[in-house]
Amino acid sequence: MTQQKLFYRKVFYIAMIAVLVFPLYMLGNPARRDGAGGLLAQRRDELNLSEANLGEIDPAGSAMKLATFGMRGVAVSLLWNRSLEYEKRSDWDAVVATANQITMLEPHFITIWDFVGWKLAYNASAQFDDYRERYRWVIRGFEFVQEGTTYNQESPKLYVRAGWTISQKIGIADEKKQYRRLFREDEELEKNQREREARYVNIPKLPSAKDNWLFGCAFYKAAETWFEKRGEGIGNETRLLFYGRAPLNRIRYAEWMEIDGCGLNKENAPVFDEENCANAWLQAQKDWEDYSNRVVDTTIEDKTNPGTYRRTSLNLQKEKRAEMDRLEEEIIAALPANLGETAQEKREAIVWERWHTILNDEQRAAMYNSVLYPYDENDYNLGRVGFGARAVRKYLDAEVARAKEAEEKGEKVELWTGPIDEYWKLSDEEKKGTSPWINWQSDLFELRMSFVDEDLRELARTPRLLVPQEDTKRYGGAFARLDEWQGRASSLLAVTPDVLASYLEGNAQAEAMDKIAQIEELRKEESFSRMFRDIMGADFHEREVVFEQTPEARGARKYRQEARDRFN
Amino acid sequence: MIIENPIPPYLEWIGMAALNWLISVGALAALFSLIALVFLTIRKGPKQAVPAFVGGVRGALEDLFKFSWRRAFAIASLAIRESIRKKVVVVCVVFLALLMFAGWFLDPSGKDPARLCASFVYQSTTYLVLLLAIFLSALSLPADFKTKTIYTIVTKPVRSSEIVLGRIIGLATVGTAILALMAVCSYFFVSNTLNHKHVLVDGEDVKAVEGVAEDWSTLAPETVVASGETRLANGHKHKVEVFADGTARVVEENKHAHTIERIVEDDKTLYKVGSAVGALQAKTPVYGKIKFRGENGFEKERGINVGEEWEYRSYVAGSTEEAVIWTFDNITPERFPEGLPVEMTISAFRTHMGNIEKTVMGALYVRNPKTGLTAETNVFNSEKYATKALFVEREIDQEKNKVRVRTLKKTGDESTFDPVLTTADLKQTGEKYDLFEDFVVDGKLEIWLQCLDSQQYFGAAEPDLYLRAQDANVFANFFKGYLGLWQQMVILISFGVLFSAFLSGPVAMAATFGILIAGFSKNFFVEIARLEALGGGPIESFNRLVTHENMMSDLSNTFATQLIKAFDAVSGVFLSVIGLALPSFSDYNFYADCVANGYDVPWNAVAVHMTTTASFAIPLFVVGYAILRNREVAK
Repeated sequence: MTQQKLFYRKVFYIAMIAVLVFPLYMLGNPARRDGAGGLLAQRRDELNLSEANLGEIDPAGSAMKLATFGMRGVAVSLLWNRSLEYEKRSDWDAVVATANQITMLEPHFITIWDFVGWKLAYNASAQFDDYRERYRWVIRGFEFVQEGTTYNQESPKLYVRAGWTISQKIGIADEKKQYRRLFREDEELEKNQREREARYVNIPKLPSAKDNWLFGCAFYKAAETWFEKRGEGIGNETRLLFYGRAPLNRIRYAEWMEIDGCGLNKENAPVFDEENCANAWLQAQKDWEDYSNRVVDTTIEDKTNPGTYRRTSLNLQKEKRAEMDRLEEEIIAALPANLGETAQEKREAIVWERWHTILNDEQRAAMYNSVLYPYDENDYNLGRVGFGARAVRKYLDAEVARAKEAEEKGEKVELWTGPIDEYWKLSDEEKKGTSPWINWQSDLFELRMSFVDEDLRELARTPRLLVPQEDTKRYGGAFARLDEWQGRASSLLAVTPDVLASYLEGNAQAEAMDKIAQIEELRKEESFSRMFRDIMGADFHEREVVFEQTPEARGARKYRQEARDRFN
Repeated sequence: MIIENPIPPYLEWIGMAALNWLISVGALAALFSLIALVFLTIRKGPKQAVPAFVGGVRGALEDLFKFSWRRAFAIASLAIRESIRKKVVVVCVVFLALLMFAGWFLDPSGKDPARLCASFVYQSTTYLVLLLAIFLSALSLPADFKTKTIYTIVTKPVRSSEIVLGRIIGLATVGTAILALMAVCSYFFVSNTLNHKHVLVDGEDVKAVEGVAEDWSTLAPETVVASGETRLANGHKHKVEVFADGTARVVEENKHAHTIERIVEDDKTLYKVGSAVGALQAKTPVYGKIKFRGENGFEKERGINVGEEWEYRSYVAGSTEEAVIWTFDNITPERFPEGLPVEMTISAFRTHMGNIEKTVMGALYVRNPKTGLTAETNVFNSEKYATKALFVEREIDQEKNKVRVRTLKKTGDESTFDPVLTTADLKQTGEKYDLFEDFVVDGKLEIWLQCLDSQQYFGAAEPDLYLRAQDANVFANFFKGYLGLWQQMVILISFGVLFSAFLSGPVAMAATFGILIAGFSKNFFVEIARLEALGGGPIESFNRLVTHENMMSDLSNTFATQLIKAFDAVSGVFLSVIGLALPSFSDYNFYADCVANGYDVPWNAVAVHMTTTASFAIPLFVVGYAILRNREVAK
């Protein structure tokens, strides 16, 4: 090649380099105080991917990343496989060391922090025999996840994991008493946490009470803060579950104050203080109320408005239910006066009428267990015995009382179970061997038996507890048909708005039908919210936080405290 | 320490190993001879092939018998000078830089900081030295060919064998020197990292035990009169005990303790807690042979499987007659004059939580293998994943140690004892027993381990319980730990020189690097070759990667799948042969593992591995010589 050609070639190369430098500069220019930087820097900023946005910058990690010469993914895969091998051999120190190496290479891979933290706190800790060693590994898992929040400050998921570990693993494990004691006495943990709090701002703080539930609460609150800022970061988790953790922790904190005290005194002995307990329950109630009133997006698509999600709150169920009840009360108010004076009496009258006009013998026989089930009016959970069955029971008891009165007066009475005339036809001699008035319970029982197959009837008459083991299956089979009919019978006795409307006529009925349509619309929201209330145990918690502040509960706590003091 | 593949005694191993080696080398030699004959036949015709082959063999034998060590060492010195000129010392600078920043990566507050530090230095040295070996060995000869300096050597009366061996020796010497330098730096780094002190203040950290008399002279010297805890350092504290005789003791924590001096001056007590002691150890374990006793009294090879994925340990049930039994040999009062120092790392498995605040209880027994005389010597609380040290006293008391006679049935036959002892005999024999006179027979002793808690289990493997003989020298042992790496380096250099004899520099480097990777994953490599690995052979695995199929599901039964499987089956044969010839580099990690875990590197292992290394180096040298000899280089 000639010198001239070589020269031209060099000039061409230099020119190409100069030309390519410009797009390189446009792409790779870093962000500065006075400028947003090149395209890559701007995209990084938009997507919150730059190291400074995500969290603390780790020089050691950066050095390691450079040392892999771009094969970071390969290195991480190899290290991960190695960590699985160490785990198989229960070499947990090596698992931790390998996990540390992985997180240096991939500090923004949330799953590593989440998964390994959980693995140490749950899997590794369970492997050890000494509960103190198990506690150490739980704390190690927690601190591992907490370290992850340093490099991923905006990740709600990691805050949730840290909060979960410190709350649940310490608070509901089999060793919870021991773990809570060790947590309170853990000076090293406290020292480390205070150092972290001095170094970083806006991180969850270890409460002075050194309670794991409160500490977990702080992490949950941090998760909520970042979730609201980012609008994402918890995947497909139901928002009501997500927001429910903090108030539940408050409830657990108040619960445990009574069990193992409100912190430690100077001699490291637990302190029991009823005033503190009551305050804790008050705070729990406030937190629960705030949570119940919070309207959030669910993850269920709104079919009436595609692209959006249904919104609800726990208290929405109560609001809609109150509205539905009001509409139902208006329908009942329009019912004829002969059914009764109060709404309750009208409902009961309708149930009674349907009992002996709508239900057939099989259905009445199927309701035997419900009607006879002993219930207590003061029991707050009366759901076990339906309103219908209770109403029937009340009427049937009244029937017996009426028959007794009639018998004393010498009058004949017709009852739903059959006319009492049959008794009056008996001779004096025959009357002596029989009951002076008809017992509806035994009649209902006989009716029930009449629907059991003949060959099983004798077994069916045996009380359940006295049925031999080998006949249990046959015994259950004897009532198979009756059990099938019971559902139908219960629904026929239900006093729904439709049933109420059937007792009205003309305009009143038309108005009732309008109200029923409104009730159905409200029911959709009500049942949707009811689903979440059931998931979160809202009914129970609402009662709990109120009950624990009652004078009776406070008195009981004081009584226990005094007993404890006397015992010590 | 975990030893999954125990190294057999050298004299037991060498016979079969040598035979296998001779067969393999013989087979390879025959194969190469056949290939050479075929090649010569093609090149020179059938009439000339055999004489040419015989001539070649004669020349090779001549080279062998007229080999000059002087010339070989001259070549070696050239190789050394060449390496120094290439500034190999830079590797040491890199290593030192790594050590300086190692503090960022290492956390000395863990349970076993010595292991972490030692593992780190061994690993980092491994990466650097082996990479250096590849660079030096693979590029040495090709560089000479490229720059034509090889002519200045081959034109002199130097044999090809001397060139090859000289290179190997020279490069190995350079590697050894660098390794030695790194070893020294590593030792000081590890010692420095582990070194720490604690503060202990009388009155604040150490307080008198409640109820102890003020005048200590009235108490027994070993009475603990005060106790406490040191201040935090390196993420841990130590418990401290002060005795009535005025001495003090720092309790071991994180596998080390400290010296402590108690000074009383002007009614003030000062405690001087010294440097860490015992962080680096060189324990010399004496292992026994393991067997298990089933509940019916029969012995068996393995215990119960509790469902763990890793079946290294098997288990015995608690509060039953099941036991783990170790039989020790060569137990003499000269070796263990005071008694037996026993160390064990056993696993406990709970089927129910039991008493949360107590660990599972166990008991240790010594038993006469012949008479069945058994004594319970120690009852202890287990410590899972930690090494527990117990001491079996020489004097055994019948009442205190619960001495009785215990029979053991061999699988298939009932064993009989001579003389036969019964429990009634014990009452006539007296109350005191001597460990060596009454329990050891012909140097043999059985140690039994049982779990005492019902429905809980103890698990053990053979190396999990041993007798601790006199510790070896820690300093020397630390350097012994580098022998494994040294041997890996020698084998890699031999491969590098071999490849460089006929390949260009980069290709030889890639080939040697491939040997390195394959050597560390030899087991996995052989599994793939034999189609035993999940996901199938190499082509099937690649197919699964590309099509995103997982390893467990079967591929659809198409012609392409059949073709892939057939190809893998054929290539598997070829890969199996390569697999047999691969050195198992991961076996040499045994040395580093020993040192990191605080054990002395046994000379038996060194002998076995050295012999293995030589068994690779010698054929590699011969093949390298043969290739270089037949290469067209100014003959």
